[in-house]
Amino acid sequence: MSVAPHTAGPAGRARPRWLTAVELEHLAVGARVLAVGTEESAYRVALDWAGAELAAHGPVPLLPPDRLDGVGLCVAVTLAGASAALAEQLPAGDEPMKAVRAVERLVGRPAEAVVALNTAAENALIALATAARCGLPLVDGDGCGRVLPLLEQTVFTLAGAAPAPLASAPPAETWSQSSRPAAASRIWCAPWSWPPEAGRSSRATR
Amino acid sequence: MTGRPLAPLDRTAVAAFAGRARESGVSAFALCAAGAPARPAPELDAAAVIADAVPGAAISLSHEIGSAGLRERENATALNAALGGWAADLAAESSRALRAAGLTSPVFFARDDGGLVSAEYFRRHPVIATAPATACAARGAAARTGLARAVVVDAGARSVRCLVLGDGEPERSARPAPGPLGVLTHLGSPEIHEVLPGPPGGTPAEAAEAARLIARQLARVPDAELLYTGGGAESVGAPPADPTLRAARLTDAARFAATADCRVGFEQIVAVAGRSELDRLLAAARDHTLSRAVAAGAAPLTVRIESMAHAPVAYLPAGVHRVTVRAVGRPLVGGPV
Repeated sequence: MSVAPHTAGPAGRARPRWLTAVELEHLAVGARVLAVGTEESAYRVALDWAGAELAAHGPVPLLPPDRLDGVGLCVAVTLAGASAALAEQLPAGDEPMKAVRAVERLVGRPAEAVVALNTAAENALIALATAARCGLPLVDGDGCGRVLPLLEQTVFTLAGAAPAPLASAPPAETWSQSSRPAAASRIWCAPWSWPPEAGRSSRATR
Repeated sequence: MTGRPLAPLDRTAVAAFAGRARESGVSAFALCAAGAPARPAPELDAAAVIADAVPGAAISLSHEIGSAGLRERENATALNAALGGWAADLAAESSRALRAAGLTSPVFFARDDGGLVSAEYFRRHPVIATAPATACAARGAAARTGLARAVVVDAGARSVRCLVLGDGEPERSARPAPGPLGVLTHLGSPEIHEVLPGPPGGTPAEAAEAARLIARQLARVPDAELLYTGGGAESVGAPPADPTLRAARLTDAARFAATADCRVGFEQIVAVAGRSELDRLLAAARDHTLSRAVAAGAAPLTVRIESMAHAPVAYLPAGVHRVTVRAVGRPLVGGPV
């Protein structure tokens, strides 16, 4: 898979090659517009999280979707559960990477890019945080162009494509020690090949 | 968020920490546990351990101060602990000054939303009462003019600020905002827009910018009147006033604060199995808020619930609700100072 971003978008406007703290601010403003129902506190957690990952691991290459070769493993990362829970039970930061590693083990291939499941608030920002943490490029696109609650409402399940396998990472060690299901936000991660291969029927995130 | 325990409290570690703090001369503590709005028990347990280890410790508990959202609540709790000394000094100085002038009536402090709390309550919860002037001035101006829906411009000695009144109540900030010392908190304080960060009558460019900001608020709130308060009103565009009106504008904040009611708020997350349990916990929240109003200096026979709201928290399991209650009452006068 090519990871060389280009500079001009379809409309001829300059497209950033790398996502730095500056592009994060721009992304965050747009992602906020599309998420009127989010908890402001959770949004700020995700924003600071992505900022910290960029500061620690450097800028993230932005990958135009037409540079994806349809063969490599591209993982979609999203937050499932309550925004309010993310605001209260802060992430340790390695949850998305754990989910990505779990999918890599299941599929038997390394991830080559990260794509956001949707563009709303935490989901857009956590995808960027994941890309930075994993040292992967971020695809310049997402699964539904806004936010919708179900996985089958994204393009990743078009034409009966199966989004499985999915991996989930709970937000902190204390949760996974519990025998009862935790009512917390989980980081979900699913692999996509591009274009989606036809497969079994889709599964919902909830 | 559902009230389920995350991990047992490590009392030994809390006691060891409190011991080290005492040795370094620390006596103010801020306690903030994840999930405390739903389950305050760990904070109360830790507070008991600290109170044992550090006699006379001043302990701020996050579930009594902030709402859901760990970082903003933690900030508010730390600020509350840090402001304790200032609040104690201010309360003592005020009482002393009033006694020196022959006044022995009880002392109340105005909160940021314009409600009053007793000096004792203020000393324990100073974070809610650091910038009350604009809300008091706006409510005072509303009382003076009889307007319940207005964009109020408060032109004080140090800055010009603007807030929106709806039904006589200042519009509250729905998002976390910079609170005391510029630290991000979410205390439901009125949304105050600073339109001119200097004394009234700044440069023409600043005045034009201020006019634009005020016009934007007026456009946002249909049918709102523009109301001026504060001593510098005329220098920011208020129509010329006679000395009586000028004096009235200058004293809006003080007149309102002197006649205001005691006001307290309470916020909680409850996890319930059904409607009857919810009703029982709502009644408990109501009672708790009424007794908090009495603790804040309201006369017991006058306290009443001003507003109460509860709604399920999105995407959490069914039965998890956010409950917010506000209570109001007349200040108890003639009691202990």
